[in-house]
Amino acid sequence: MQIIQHYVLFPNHDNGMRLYKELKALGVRATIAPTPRVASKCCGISLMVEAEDIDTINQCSKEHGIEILKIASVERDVNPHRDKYC
Amino acid sequence: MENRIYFDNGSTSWPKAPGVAEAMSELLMGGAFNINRGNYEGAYAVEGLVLDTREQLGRLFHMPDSKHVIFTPGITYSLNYFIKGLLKPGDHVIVTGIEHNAVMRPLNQMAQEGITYDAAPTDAEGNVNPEGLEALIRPHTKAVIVSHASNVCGTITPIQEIGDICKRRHLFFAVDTAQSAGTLDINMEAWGIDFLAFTGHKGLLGPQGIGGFLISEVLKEQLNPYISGGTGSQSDSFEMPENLPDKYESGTMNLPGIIGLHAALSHIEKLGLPHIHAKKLDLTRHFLEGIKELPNVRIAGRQDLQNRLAVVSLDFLTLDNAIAAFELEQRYGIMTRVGLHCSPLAHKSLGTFPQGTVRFSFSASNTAEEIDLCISGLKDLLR
Repeated sequence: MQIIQHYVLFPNHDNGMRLYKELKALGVRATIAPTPRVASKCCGISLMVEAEDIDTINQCSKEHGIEILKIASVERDVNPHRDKYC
Repeated sequence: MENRIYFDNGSTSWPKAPGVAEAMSELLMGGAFNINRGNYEGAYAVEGLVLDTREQLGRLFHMPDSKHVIFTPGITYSLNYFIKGLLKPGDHVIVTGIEHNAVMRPLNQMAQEGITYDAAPTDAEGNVNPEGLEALIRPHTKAVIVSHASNVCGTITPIQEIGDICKRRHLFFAVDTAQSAGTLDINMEAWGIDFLAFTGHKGLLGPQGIGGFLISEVLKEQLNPYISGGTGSQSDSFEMPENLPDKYESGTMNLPGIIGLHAALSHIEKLGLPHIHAKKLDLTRHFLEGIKELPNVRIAGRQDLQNRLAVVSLDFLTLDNAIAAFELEQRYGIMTRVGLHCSPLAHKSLGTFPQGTVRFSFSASNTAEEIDLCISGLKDLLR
């Protein structure tokens, strides 16, 4: 079954930590994680969030002046054969 | 330090705030993980504490957006960031007559690249004249850099008035808070400060090796990052990120220092600045009253409690100042700082150049009994 995971991407760690703190205060579940390489090449952290919380997250970031690059939807792909060619 | 009296808080405060050493030790023993790099819970926890520390500093200096709080290894680094990241050949700068070499030396380096500067008129008590400062403004003046309080005599500079001048004349306003942070309430927004340089190890009661600056939105657009390198963000680019705080925070930061500062700021928030300032001024009053009748000693700077911090400089007229400091330490265990205090310009303004002074700088941890012992030592020394 295909599982889609949503990641909030930031220009830097500081913005990520800020949003994490605000969401925690609101009781919105978020997990800090490395940014999936497929979603961005720029490193840094992202927040793994639930689809139903995305509107709240967008509103919260606007209210607190937190910069978000985008919210990426990435297939949760744990493939043991990834990058194995022989 | 049994039977020792520490009166050198202008150099660095001691003792540090309760909890500073424990917090630093806990980090180093329990997991000093690197923030903005490590992708695991321990690193995120440290990152959370760093964010909390930025917010504490934002509250302390009235900067609502704490991403404008930048960490550096100290206030000298911060001032170098300002001077070398902003000024271009042809620019003119105004300083005051009480500036520390943390300002004067980088400015003199920049003078070789075509920067010029003038020092605002400053009297023999260390009082800076704002009108005199304004009269020095030229068409190519770019910034005003002032020390909030003299590290030699404790006289406070009228930064609110100077801030108004800078706002009116469209100049960048930089303030060196080395002696005043953690004692005076400093309102960056209301006073129009574009660049507020601070150190963590003096009045803020944190460890050495941590400091920083707070920067206005307007200045951020013009201040180049003096140091560049990895930030853990936008790593696909060779360019420095424009986002704060990354723009000015390259390389691994002094995390034990920041965590120690976090503990120190929590202590200061608990005590409150008015309490700290009042306690220090009480000690200063006691000291000034005690030394009033001493023969052959001159107080450099103000002799009253108005407009000052708990820093008192004495010039011994019949004794070499270095010998006086040595004897105070050897005979009575009183630790002071003698010489020019890295502020030759201030000593010239105060009329104590080149002999310098013996500086007594108090913290809220000092006691009236220690002041009494010092006064009795001074009386004995000058008998």
